[in-house]
Amino acid sequence: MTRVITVASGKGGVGKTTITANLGVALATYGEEVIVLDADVAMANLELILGMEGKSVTLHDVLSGEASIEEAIYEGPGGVKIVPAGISLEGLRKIKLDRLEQALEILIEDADMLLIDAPAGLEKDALAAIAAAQEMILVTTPEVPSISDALKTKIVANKLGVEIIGVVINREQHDKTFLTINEIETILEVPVIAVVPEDQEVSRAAAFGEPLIVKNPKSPTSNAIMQLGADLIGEDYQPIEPDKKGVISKLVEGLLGRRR
Amino acid sequence: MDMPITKPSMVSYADQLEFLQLLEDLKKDKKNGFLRVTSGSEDGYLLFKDGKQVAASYDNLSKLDAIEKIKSVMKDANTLVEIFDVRPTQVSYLMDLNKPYLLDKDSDIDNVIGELKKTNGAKSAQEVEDKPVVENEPPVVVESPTEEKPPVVEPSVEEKVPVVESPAEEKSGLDSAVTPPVKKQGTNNENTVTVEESAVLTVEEAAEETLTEIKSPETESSVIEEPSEDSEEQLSTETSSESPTDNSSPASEVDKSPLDSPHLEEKVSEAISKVEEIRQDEIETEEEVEPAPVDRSELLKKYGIKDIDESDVENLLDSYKGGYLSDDDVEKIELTLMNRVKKSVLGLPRVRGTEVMVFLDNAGGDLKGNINLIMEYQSQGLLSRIMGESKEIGNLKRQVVGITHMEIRKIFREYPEIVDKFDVNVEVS
Repeated sequence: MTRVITVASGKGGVGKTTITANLGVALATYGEEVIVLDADVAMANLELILGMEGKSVTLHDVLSGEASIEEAIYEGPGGVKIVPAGISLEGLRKIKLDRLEQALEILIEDADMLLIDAPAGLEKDALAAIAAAQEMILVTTPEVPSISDALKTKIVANKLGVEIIGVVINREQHDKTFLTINEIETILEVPVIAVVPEDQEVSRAAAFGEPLIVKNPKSPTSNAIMQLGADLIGEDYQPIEPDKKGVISKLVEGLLGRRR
Repeated sequence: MDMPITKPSMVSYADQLEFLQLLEDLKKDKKNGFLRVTSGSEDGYLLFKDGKQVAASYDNLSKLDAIEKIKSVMKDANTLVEIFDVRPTQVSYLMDLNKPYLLDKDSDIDNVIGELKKTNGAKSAQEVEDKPVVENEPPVVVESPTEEKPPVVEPSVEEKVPVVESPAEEKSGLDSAVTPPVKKQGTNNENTVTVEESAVLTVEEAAEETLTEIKSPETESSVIEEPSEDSEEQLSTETSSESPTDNSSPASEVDKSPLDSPHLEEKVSEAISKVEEIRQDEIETEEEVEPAPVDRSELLKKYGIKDIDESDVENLLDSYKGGYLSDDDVEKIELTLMNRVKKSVLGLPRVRGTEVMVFLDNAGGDLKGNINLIMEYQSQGLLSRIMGESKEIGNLKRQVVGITHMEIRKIFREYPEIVDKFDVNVEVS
């Protein structure tokens, strides 16, 4: 049976799309048939993060009734399938969210897992994305506004009968001014399933239009997301240690090795 | 201190503002909130209630220690100063939460502005009197960083000091952490520093330097630069000529022992470790006293997060439903529409009677409808029927359709376009 998981946050800008994109690629590397759907039709960024912008048919077209969902599926990094939302605002007025349900029914036919990148907030489009899933991952940063919004989203999801898998704390900085993991768990009453550290590599990868776990699989963020993916499907994951030796020392070591 | 960090109402670097002025402004504005200073990886807080500072912390320091530290880091241009506003009720809660950091209301030290003013200017005699340990010290010594230690700690340290009262430690080449402050005292020897006083400060400073790392590198280096061998000699001479006042104290035992006693170093170490224990105990006590809110409602209160009401969610989800209608709603609309159309049509001249049938279809959430009207029209004579009744009936039909559309629009005020989804049929008999 296909698992439909919505990645939601409440507050915008917490790294939801980054987590979704990389988690999708991570799950695909474990051999899962994964489709990532960008349901943020107003602020679509998934395609930018994955370097897939400018696709001719997008979810916009599907929700506008101008294309079928099959036409909007594209092959992404690591074999993950992507349904981009489409960045153009022109078609927004024509969108009918009721069509999302029909599109999802088709999508789950051929996938092990469908990840939905939900819009921020609790507007109709966000609620549609949450209601469409059976499970949800809450993404938050360890800051008060983010936690507050995540709490609202969590309660709405509960009302809609969506099971919340857990919370991903993104941009953790080991700063005592932020909420601790225990505090977040206590407030949200949901277990923390992953802690993703603040990582400049994320921005760099986005600038290159490449998912971080492909561009820099040894980074702490990549390891955290790979671990999250493994936990979701019950796989084991051995974190990849970053290279501690510098380029020069590696070079010297290599040269010495050759001499021997 | 545990503080809810939200969006600051003011952010500035230390060199971009007058700290004193800022504090005065906060007092004047009767500010409820807190000030955070961040210097490197450390930060300090001053909590304000109605403009009055009620608690202070800096890293591991609290109260006056913290205020002094905040004052010192404000000299650094890179220190970041932020002001956070909180509600008065939150301040009370934060005070409750941070009891170990609350300033003593009866003490002069709770007034940060006054404290800073005093420190910025020349030290007043009254301030010196406030410090039990430095009371008898010469003014120069008072200006050293050690005088800024909180009075709370000093008495306990003083109890331990006699162990190292002997000047032997100064000559026996003990670790450098102990000697520099003694050398500093030596420089002020001309101001009749007693050995006991210098020893008190020596142990205190040594313990603090080595154990709590309160001192900054700058302070340490300045202390080392100052020593004078002459004064050191003077100090040792004076020390040897002076006898301890309290023979019952452990100090007398040390004084009796030879200057080069092999046990002296151990005793000094013991004293230092005792001081360390006392300091550690104090820190631990503070940490233990500090409540760790694990209760959810307390956490929500602490961070000012509003728990969500179930009814709010229901309302939100109801609004999400938008144009969707339940079967009951559909039946109500049918009935209302039927009555309204019937009433309007019966108001037309020469309409004897009418039957209105409304059928709404809400399948798939896409509402559409069918309205059938059968009207009994008062016929005229044969001639007029032949001449133009068909035309009149045509007009009547159009009129009835218009009335029906108007009633539909009245019912669906926020969705008038729905009228296009209604099919209206009129039969006249």
